Amino acid sequence: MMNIIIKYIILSLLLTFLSCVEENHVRVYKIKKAKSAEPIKEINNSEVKPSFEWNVPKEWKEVPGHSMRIASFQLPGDGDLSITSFSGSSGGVKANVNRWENQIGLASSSTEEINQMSQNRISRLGKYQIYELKNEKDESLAILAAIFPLKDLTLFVKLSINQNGLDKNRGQFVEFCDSIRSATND
Amino acid sequence: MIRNIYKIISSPKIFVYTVLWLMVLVFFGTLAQKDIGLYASQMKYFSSFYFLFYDFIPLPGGRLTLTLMTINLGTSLFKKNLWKFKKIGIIILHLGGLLLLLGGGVTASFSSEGNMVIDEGSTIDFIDDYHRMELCFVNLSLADSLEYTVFDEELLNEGNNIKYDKIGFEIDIISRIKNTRIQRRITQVDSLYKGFLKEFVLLPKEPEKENTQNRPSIIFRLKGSQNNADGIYGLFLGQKDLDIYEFKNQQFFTEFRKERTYLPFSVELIDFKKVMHPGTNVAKSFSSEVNLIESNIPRRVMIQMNEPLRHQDYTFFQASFIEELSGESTVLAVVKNYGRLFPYISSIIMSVGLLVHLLFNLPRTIKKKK
Repeated sequence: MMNIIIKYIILSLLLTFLSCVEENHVRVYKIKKAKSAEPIKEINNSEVKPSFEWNVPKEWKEVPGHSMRIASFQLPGDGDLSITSFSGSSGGVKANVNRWENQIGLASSSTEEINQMSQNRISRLGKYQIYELKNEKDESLAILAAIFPLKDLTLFVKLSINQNGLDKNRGQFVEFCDSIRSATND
Repeated sequence: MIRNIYKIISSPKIFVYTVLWLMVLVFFGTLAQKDIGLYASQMKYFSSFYFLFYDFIPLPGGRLTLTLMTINLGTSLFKKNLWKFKKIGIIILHLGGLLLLLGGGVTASFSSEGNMVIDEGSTIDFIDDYHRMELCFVNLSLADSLEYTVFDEELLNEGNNIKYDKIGFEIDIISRIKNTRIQRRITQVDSLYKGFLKEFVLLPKEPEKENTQNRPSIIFRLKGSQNNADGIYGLFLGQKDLDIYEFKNQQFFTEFRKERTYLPFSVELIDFKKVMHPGTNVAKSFSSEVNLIESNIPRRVMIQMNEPLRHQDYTFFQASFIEELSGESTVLAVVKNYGRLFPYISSIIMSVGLLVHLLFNLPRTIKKKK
């Protein structure tokens, strides 16, 4: 009788220890992409445009953009200005600045370099940063961009232009960015 | 022979010695918290089978001591002279004690704890473990979802090689750093270093006593991409800008984060409130008004100090809060404990056992006095 009891105890303990051994330490699962990211393609100008307002300089001409843009303007000097917004931080400042740098043939800057080149300003939406990117080897390539980190989204204003045009339009670009406000604010 | 072994392991002396040893462990384990922190002390003295005293004398840890105690108590139940009607109180008491110890075993083996940090207005459906880390590869190329391939803490030891055929990964864990200092590189580095490591270097620094205050990091080598994604990557806890790279025509990013446990429901923070002691910066009380969302049906609940939310096997305690310019966040400590009811039940059983024993012995005691 005692023999059976002892064996039973040993077997139970052995089973307890074995049951604790997990062999698989790799897990795979899927999570649906955030809903806010899905309808971006469906957003059209008429739906999103009322969210923001701005003062447009006289020389700028509003042109139809594609569905991803809130608005598009043509600037003197063949400049293309786009206003877009994406939910969350949209990859962060570094990823976006690096992407623009790549677009005009520049090497990616580090976070510290990006922080140094940024110009902090305050608009009616709050704090925002301006980034000026020029390809010294090719005068036709330059980007002037502003990033507005808002509560649930990030607003981007990006001007693609040649370097001469950038210098001429810089003042108006900054004034335009300063004037951007939420349509419901006023 | 077996009878002799049984006699030894069921001896009441073992129970007495293990209780005394537990008292010693509690005393030294409590003192050690001052020098090595709560978590390390808990691991060394209570959650271990043995520990090294002065780094060379092995002594039994809490787990071994309690296992011995459980075996001792369990085997003592099979003593023939115990199973008599007049000893029913003692039997009940033994069963209660055994249940308490088994409950402790269940808690130690299967319970998990972590925290949930929720910003006001946002919804979270996972818990971050306090201590365990995981390395997570996220496939961004799927149309409607993100595919997470997660490697657990056990695979992330220095020198480990992980082969994962499903994607074609081969990962060599080069280094694990407990607490990390991030420093900018002074010189250009080999193209072998990728992403963040091209500009920064991860260096170890003196770990903090409390593990939760450390910033762990990992350096690993990725192989098998058949393009220039192969190389050495570095990641640290809380890294914001994660490097996106292409691996066999699919876009991935990698994250080194606290081990995440997904819940079958989600919690939305509606409002966080705190009341300060007048004229001080010391919080008197704080509370979180949350929506517990299950099957898309929200239920409004208030979680406050000493009034946790209990749902399914989880308990949510109001632990702390974070105040930033962008808004307030609540920190909920979440415990999943399958053994939660064991102490209550076993205490009742032991009380009944003592009472029964007392009642059975009362006439005899009165007689003796007379």
